[in-house]
Amino acid sequence: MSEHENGLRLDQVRVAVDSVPDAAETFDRNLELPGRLEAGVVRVSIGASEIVLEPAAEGERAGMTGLVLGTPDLDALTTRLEAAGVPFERTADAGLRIAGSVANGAPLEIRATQKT
Amino acid sequence: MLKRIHHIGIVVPDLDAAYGFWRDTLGLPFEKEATVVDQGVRAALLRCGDSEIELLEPIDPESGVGRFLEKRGGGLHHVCFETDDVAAELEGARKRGLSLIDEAPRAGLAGQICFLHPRSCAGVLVEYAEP
Repeated sequence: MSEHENGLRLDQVRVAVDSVPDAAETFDRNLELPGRLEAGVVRVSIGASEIVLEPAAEGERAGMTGLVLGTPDLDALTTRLEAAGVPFERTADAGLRIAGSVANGAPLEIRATQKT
Repeated sequence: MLKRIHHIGIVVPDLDAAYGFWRDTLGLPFEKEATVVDQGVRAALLRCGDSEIELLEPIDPESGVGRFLEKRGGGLHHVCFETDDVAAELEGARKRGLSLIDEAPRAGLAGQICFLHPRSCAGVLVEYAEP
């Protein structure tokens, strides 16, 4: 790893949809990417990542709504965000949330992962 | 067969400024940058585990990316899936009756690429890429 490389990886792509069953059928039939229903969302695994199809909030546009990244060293990344003056929130599962307004319109959640 | 998420495309107003967050602060390693004239973009790929983040700065306001920036101010634009055979994937999509943006593969930053219309992909703009 380089000085600044921190092992970030793409864990999830969140997609808001008008109908979770319809979207799951579309992903399966049109893209040949079957998913599994879990707690009201459908998880589509591909490679080391997954696409999460979840109900759009009222007034929310269908489409991608955010990315979930994993890092093996969340403390180091937190320190760097603070040093750079990047605003973030803590999430309930001890991760970080960075607003889309900070990340070029791409809302991010960053979670700790096991070191590999 | 789709193998992995090759990249997530994010439209930005200023690529150099975007490097400040994605490369310099988050620490995503730089892979490559190019101007793709026929798509009207200056684009960069940054490594993110087994996938990449593609930052897209429009150089043509009339391009699809330029219109996206004008309408939405930037943000999550498309998801790209890697395949070993983009022509076969495109033909398969055609046979399944999907709405296509590209009728044939073309060169892009990620290799030979094509786009499928969001109306066939649950509202998501989908790209296939054969690196």
